[in-house]
Amino acid sequence: MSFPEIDSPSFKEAELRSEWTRVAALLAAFAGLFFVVVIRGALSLAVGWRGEAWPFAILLAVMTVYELARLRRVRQAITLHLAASRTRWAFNVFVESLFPTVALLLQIQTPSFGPDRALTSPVVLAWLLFLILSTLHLDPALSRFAGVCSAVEYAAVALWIFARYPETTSVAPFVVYGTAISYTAILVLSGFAAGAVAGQIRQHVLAALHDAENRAKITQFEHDLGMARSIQQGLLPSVTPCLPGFEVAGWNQPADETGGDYYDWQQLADGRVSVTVADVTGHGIGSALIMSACRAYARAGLAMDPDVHKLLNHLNPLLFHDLPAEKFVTFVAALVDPQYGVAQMISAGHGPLLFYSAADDRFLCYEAQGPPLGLLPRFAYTGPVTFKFDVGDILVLLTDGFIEFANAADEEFGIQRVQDVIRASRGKEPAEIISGLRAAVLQFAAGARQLDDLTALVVKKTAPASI
Amino acid sequence: LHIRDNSGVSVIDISGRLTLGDVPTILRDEIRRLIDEGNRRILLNLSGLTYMDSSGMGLLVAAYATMSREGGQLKLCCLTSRIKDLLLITKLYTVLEIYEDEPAALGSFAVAAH
Repeated sequence: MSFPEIDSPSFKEAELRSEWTRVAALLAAFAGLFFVVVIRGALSLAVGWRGEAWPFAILLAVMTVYELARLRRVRQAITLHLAASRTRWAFNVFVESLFPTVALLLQIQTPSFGPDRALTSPVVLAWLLFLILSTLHLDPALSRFAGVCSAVEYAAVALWIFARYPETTSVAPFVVYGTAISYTAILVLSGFAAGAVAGQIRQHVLAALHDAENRAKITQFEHDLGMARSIQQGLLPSVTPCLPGFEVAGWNQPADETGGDYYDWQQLADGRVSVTVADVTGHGIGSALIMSACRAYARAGLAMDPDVHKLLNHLNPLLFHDLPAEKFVTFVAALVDPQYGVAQMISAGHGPLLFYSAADDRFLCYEAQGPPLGLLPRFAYTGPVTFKFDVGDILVLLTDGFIEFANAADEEFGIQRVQDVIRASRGKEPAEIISGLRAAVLQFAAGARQLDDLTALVVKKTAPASI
Repeated sequence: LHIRDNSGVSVIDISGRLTLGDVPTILRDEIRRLIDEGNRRILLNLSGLTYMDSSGMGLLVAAYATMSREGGQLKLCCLTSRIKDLLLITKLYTVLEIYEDEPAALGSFAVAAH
């Protein structure tokens, strides 16, 4: 066979369905032929010939019963997901090719035809009908086999007629032999032509199935991604923390379905609140997985011991062992004490860390205490920086997605524009400051694609300390 | 990406953009090859590097860490202001061995050898 066996269950099913169509089409053709035979029988009765058509009607009935049985077997195979057996199908092709042979033999016995005209009678065309429909086997080899069977049987009947009825070749032997040879050749060639058509149909069916499978995979993939996204978004804090005198807001928008950025806050047992922003290398699903590991370590660590310095020195080797080489996390955590309005902040390679002082109307830019997490497992981070919030002061923790958001001219949003927006919205609530930043960066980008995740967390002191 | 030998130090000139994609892969393979060939002094000349994303940064640090583990030295020189800012923000500037220009970097290798 020139085509490889296709093992996919969907192709096997398509093959069976096609076979079902083929048998159904044959049955429809039989019904039409039956009608023709009955009309011819009735007409022949009218002109005084008796019984010429009836053997054909009986043969058609036998064929119909055979094909009905086959239709049932194919239907069962489809329902039970059975595979088509090549040998059995080939045997069926052979059995079907015998029907026109029997009809031809009956034709010889028909008085109005006789042996000399039988070899060119319409019965021969029945083989072509089978050959045309054999394309629905979707198997070039089976179609060619059908062509060879038809030709061999036709040739055998012809030889038998020439031997049995020598008078058929006595008048014009050249014409008679030539006709028989041509018919035989046409049957073989038709088989091969049908094989070529079957091959084409097979290719199209395979391509269509391939497309359908791909679409199904994509749907599954999109579903999984959507699920990952909703899980990741669910990891972001939803309830604002209890931080008297302060307001806190966060926002995250991944560049893809999922991202490597996150922000978090956590109410600690001593009344302080930790706020965190982190950025995992890259974005997408891989970074999202790392992000959730990092977040889990950080939350568990801070709950056990609310010391950001120890936290970094623990997180770093843990992440180093978890992360693939070259992947890292920039991480900033600040512990805000509402009682004294003081914050302790530590950063592992994360910047910019902007602090807007309302009294001086100026920005302080804090530096990181060491490199990003997960790169150098033995690095010892220095202690956190401590600063005091006065009313109106704003801490803004961003990821570089904001700073590096580029417009069509490849110009970046940059830290200056961030500061301008914060200064302009210094009187507003943190959530409004963030939406201002978001609007400004989108306006600046003017439709340029977001290439990196965007995350912002803003802490603002809104009222004097509670003591 | 161009590799040359300057007074016993393998100097790799990196230019263009070091972002997620082919360049980091080639650079990683080249550094790996140099280390496998027994090369223990590598200098990355970044004078032509205009942009680097976090995956490029990860690559540099991982190469540095690998080299340190193998007992060798990997240094950087000739940073553009943009790359310098990036390394300053992430504090990698203080971790990695960085020199203003190539002679200074080569000189540091020589001093270490004595």
